[in-house]
Amino acid sequence: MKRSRNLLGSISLLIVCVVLGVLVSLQLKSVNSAQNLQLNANKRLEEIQNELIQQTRINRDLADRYAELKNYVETVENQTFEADDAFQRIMEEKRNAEIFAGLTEVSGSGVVITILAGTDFFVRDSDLRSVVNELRAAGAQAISVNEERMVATSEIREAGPYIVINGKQFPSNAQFEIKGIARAEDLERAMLMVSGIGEQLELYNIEFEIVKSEKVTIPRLREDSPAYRYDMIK
Amino acid sequence: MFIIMLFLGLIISIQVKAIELNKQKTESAKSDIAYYTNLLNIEKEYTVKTTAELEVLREKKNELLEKALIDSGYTTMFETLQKINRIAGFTEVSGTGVKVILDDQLVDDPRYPALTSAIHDSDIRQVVDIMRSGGAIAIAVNGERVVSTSELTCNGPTVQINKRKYPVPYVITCVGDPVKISTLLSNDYYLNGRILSNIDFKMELSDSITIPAFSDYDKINQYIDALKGDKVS
Repeated sequence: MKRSRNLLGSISLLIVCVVLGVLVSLQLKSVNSAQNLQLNANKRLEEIQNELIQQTRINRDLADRYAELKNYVETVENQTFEADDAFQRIMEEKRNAEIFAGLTEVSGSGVVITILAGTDFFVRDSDLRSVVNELRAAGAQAISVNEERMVATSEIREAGPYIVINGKQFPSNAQFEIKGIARAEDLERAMLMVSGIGEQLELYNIEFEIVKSEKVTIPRLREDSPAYRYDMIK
Repeated sequence: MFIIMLFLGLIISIQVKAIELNKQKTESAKSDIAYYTNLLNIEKEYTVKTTAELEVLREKKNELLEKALIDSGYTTMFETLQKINRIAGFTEVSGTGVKVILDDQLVDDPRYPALTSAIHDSDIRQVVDIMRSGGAIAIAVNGERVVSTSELTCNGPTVQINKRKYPVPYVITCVGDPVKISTLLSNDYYLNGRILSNIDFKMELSDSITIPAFSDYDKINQYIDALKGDKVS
């Protein structure tokens, strides 16, 4: 009798312990998964908040532009056109657009990069394009390659032993000179940064030289370059 | 036995409480998300609305200027202005062209690691450069007009163009000779290599492609302020 009571006690103890174990593990698991859920929700929330901040910034910018343009349109509407500042504004706009489009010669502080050709290798179009893109990324406001002004549609492409830029051929075993106007230090840093374009050129054994200058002059787009011709098509 | 039972009771009550607490937390997070999503949608609507209104104003401004200049006898001046604006990329351009869509194609396959089957800035640059080589007269990446200063650089999971960041997919459109440009694209050694390493590349020839004007057309001072010693020639 005593033995069977002991047995009963042990069995119930066993059951209780099993239940206890299962409960503890359930508890741990639920805490874990709740934490994960919470983390995910927080991450999503953060993403949405970031997006919201960006969108608000865009909208503030849009609102400014809208107000400015509306003001401008009202000025033009209410003024007689002759001899007033509306005309001045048009002239200034025209000038700015011309500078931006690359239709004027410009100068400012910047860099002159010379890509030295060797006798046993050719400069590739992709090397030149990488340098131009790097200068753009570093904030260059005007760029030329061998005195060819880089505009929106300017191509740099290989054609046999030549590289064609703005429709003009340059032998690819000759020296190339790339000029950029912006803060000279920014441009130099962009060229020389670790695992940047400079290292990439060195990897292909292409020698180059960077000279910073207070006054770099970049010519206007040639009148006979493709960008002008395409302008025939509206 | 008593202690064990006590322990059991304790755990059950903690569990019940934890569940309640979690429910509350999740619900509050959910309502926060809903709240901010709503705000975001309002801002997005505002963007769409204001962008459209800006476009209307812009057209009105151009009409007014045209009228004012022509009325005052400055017809040539007006035409010159139009031409400059077209070359600068300040006008919308439509015509025949090509549309390329680049996207990541991430599959769980060791032959195609994410490093090579994800789109990089260099892929977009390659497409843009080929379009230039093919004589495209206007190019845009995700609706950003490619202008003389447009950079295409990698910026974490996004690619930056015209100082704005865009995630995948990248839609690169151009106006130009569709046959010439698409032929150059499909024969490009680099792009074919990229397609082999499993990027998602789609190309369409189109009769009507519209390339928008440069989005900062009315804020270009920031793009020309270093060009001090300029001469108008």
